[in-house]
Amino acid sequence: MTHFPILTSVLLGLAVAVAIFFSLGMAIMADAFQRLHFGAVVAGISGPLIALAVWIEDNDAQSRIKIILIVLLLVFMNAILSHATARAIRVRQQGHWEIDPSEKIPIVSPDDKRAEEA
Amino acid sequence: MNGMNVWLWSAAALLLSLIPAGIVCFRGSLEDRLVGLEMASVLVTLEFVLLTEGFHRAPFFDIPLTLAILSFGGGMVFVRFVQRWL
Repeated sequence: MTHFPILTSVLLGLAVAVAIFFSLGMAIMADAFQRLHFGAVVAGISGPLIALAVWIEDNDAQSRIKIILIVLLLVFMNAILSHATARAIRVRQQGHWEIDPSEKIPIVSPDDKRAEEA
Repeated sequence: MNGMNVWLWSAAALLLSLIPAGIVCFRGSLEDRLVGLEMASVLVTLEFVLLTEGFHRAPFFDIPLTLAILSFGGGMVFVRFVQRWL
């Protein structure tokens, strides 16, 4: 039984559109590091939108608790998994995780930034 | 169509998002395939949520919940393999 058909449809439509858009975005990116970011958007935007739709539609407490758990798991586990994946890819490509001086990665401290702005 | 509701239509539309993830899984480098797998597991979890709500079967919420937990564990295993052995 649909209690708020328009609101539910809008929420689900947005969630699905975001998922399709960012899935396509992931596919056209150049390398794995760029692709990694797109899963977080699907988990962090589509997931809560679907959870909100379930919360609005379903009066069952069991469903509500479970959907919140699912979305929390997706968001937090995805963040951990993305970090672990990026680390694994870097170790695989470079042979180490630490920054090598030859890589010339600029490390700017907040003090340096303030000095530049002044 | 008879029996269809907004949840099931959304589930059907969400299947489209699995196509790019599948392409990355099947055609990319080893690192790309791992990222594609992670994306696909998030999408399939959301797909099961939509199907559960669409079929009005509250106990079926255990399936996406279990998948969300297991996909993290499975992903970490693949990450470990990619880092060390593959």
